[in-house]
Amino acid sequence: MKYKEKVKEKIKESDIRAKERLKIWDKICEDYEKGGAEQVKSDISERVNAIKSDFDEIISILNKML
Amino acid sequence: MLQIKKIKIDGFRGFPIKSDTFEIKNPIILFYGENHQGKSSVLNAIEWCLYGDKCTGVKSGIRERKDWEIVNRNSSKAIVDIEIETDKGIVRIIRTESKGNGRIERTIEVVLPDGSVKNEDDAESEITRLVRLSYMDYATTIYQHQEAIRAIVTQKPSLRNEAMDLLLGLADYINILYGIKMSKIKDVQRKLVDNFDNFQEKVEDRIKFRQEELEKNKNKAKSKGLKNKELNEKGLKNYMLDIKKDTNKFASQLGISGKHIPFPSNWKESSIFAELIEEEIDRLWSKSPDIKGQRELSSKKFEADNLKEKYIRQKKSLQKQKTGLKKFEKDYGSLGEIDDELKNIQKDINDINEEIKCISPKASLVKEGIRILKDASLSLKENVCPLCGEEVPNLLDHLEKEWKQKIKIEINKLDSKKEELEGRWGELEDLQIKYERIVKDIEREEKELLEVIKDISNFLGKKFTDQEDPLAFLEKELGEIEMNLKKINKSIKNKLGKINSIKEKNNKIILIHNILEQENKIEDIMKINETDEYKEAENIRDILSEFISDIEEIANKVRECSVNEAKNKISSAEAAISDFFMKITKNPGIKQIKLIVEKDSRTGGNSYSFLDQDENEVTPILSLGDFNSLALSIFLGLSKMDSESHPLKFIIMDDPSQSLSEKQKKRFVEVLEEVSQSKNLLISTMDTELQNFLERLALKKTIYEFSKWTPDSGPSINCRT
Amino acid sequence: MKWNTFNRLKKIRNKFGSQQFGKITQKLLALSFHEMGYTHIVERGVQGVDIDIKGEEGKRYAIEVKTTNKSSINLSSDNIQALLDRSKDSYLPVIAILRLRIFENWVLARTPISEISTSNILIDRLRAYRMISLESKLEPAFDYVVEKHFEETLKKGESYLKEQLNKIGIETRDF
Repeated sequence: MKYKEKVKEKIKESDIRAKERLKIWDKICEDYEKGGAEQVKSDISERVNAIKSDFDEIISILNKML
Repeated sequence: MLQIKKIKIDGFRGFPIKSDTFEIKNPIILFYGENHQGKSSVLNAIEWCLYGDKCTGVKSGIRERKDWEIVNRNSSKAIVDIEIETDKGIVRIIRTESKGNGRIERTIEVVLPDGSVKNEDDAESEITRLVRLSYMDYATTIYQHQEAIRAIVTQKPSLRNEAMDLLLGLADYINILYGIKMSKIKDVQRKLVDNFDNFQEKVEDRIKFRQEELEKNKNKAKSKGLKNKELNEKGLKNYMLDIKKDTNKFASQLGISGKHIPFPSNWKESSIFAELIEEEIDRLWSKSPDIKGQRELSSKKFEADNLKEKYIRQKKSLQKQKTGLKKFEKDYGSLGEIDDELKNIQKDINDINEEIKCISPKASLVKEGIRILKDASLSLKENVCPLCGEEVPNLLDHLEKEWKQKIKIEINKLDSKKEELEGRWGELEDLQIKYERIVKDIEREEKELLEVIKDISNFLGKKFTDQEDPLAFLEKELGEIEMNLKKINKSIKNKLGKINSIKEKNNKIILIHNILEQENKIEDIMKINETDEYKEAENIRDILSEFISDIEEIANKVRECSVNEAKNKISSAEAAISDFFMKITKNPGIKQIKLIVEKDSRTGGNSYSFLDQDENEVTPILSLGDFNSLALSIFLGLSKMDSESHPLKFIIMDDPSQSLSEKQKKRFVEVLEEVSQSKNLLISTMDTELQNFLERLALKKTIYEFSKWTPDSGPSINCRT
Repeated sequence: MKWNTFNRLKKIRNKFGSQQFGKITQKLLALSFHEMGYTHIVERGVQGVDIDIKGEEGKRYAIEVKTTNKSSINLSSDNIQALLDRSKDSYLPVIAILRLRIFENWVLARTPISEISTSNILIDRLRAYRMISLESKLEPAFDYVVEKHFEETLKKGESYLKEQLNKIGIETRDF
């Protein structure tokens, strides 16, 4: 897909975190090809919410220390 | 280059089970007819044959395709068979879909020029290799949908920008950006930050609160005599050592073996230590001989006091009675005297009675006579003597006179005296009774006193003689008890002082413990950032931040690519677009159309402007027909430039002439004629004017006229070339 | 930062207000860099990038300093332009943020200029670009500097720190 390669090239141009971003971009493209925008949204949401959920758990442990 | 040569449709959408074949021999193919005659189904058949389920449902990105039905309702199977001319010869693509028993079966077959056949995945790969165009690009650059024109025509810039993005084939970028936007990652990060913020606030509050409590406790400790330098572990340890020594000493002083109290290994155990010390002190004290002795002596004293009080009271009571008796005798004489007096009175009464007796026979006679005479007066016989019966004048008066003057007075005198004596008699009798009562009381009191003396005797363990005064002995005993009590109380006081001193030290231990506990807690809170959990929280913040920055930067790159691609496409097609627009609209005010695309600073998306030769925005002055012409010009201009990027040598237009004026339609047809030099045009329309213009002006065309569509037989198609 | 540092900074902010506090903190930061062995330190009060430093390894940093007690910062177009200008002289742009809340430390974010915008930026957003090694060296140096200069700063404010900077040869520019 053209869009995939074009964006990949752009990502490679910046030196900060290019490697990580390329991986994420590959995943986004995979999700997009599988289920369109909805799949992209749901995958990113899931990941971010999982991180937040872990964080909330830790905060509740920290709160108990008070 | 790929050119469609033939389309055969069976059971697909508007076509029930009946083969309809469309030959593509001319540059312009017009599918003409009213709505719902099956025209669009022909166009749809092409895309479905090439792209299969990519062009249906949600994946297509076209809202109307959500519940798209492939198989005609009067058929069990849809077959689309397309012949495409390639550089190497004719390629046939046959796609089918059948429904039966609730299942859908799909097949795809590609027959290559050399006769070889590919099926399923190989067939799909072959198509992809041939076409080299994604469905998204096909749907925007090959096939101009009605929706696309409608969207460009709208006055709303945001909708127009969106439509332009699609027209320029940027749908993938837009969709991905949409997906990223909808994930709302920034909101999640915001919530996380707020959560952490709340935690920090809580920490600060807790520390503040505990510091205030600590200060209070320190002040309390100082008021109890503790110095600053003692408010630490060392100070605590010293106090605990002291107290342990004191407790042991106390135990040995009492002569009781003390319990072993383990010395705390750290300050945290000091509160338990203090508790145990308190318990031990109480235990020792309760078992202390002094306390026992004090208890016993107190009990003895209590008893002695009671006996003493009882004895004194009893004695007083007896004395009172005896005094009473003395007074009585003084007032009234002794019992003997009373008896004597009683005897005398009795004699006097008897004498009087005798005297009365003497007088009384006479008196009784007179009395009786008076009575009889009084009775007789009623029968007028009052003067007749009741004895002899002789009439005696004034007998009654005489008798009454005798009675009054002599007898009565004497008797009265005697009666009165007798009465007097009898009265005295009564008094003396009362005195007798009183006397006896007093004597009885005295006896009783004496008896009770003896009881008390017996009790005293038992208490002291001594039998008293008559000469011995029990009270004296009792008092002596009391004196001894009190002396011993005094000694014991002194000893107890002394020991209580020691106990208080130990307990005071114990309280200090508790105070220092509380201070250390609070300091420790504050330190723990202040060190929360050194815990693994806190570090993990920091790590998670970093991970989230990295992820979000990556996503945001990727989104920025996608936007950059989108705007660059838009710019490139526009720049390569700009001249053609302007040319087509001028030709179709012939707007005298506009000599040139320029498309500018920039990044919208607010939305981050592409923002399109349409400028004239003087760099003025033209959209405020364009009519609906002009907008439509603009949309058509862009589509046609791009398709002209796209020749290099993919091999499809045809474009499809569905109802392209909406909103065009008659003149614009004519000019549009002229433009189509120009475009058809390089591309096949497959056009679907219900516009009679357009159809007429095409018929008149287009050199080489085929017109398929659709009419009389029925569910069973589909459309009736008339073909003219 | 240590609890004591946090408390001291709070006292300074309570006394001088948030704007002055920002300038004071900037000077304390400059002193901290000096403590860490950085050279060619320039501290600016108004125009241009807030602090320039040069390290042992030769790397130069242009630092924009922000202090806040909120969870986001604002970068003005002047701030960004100043970083951009400095980047042309081979200075790496860094945004240094101190949020005055418990457990917070300096965040030194080496954000690419292209990724900086004039908008409300969540501080956490910049964590992706933290210079962790530099931050961990800065922390004790900053604690030390605050402790050392706290009393006088509380009495005399920014002018005292300016004197201190000048004493050790750090250029201060208030124009």
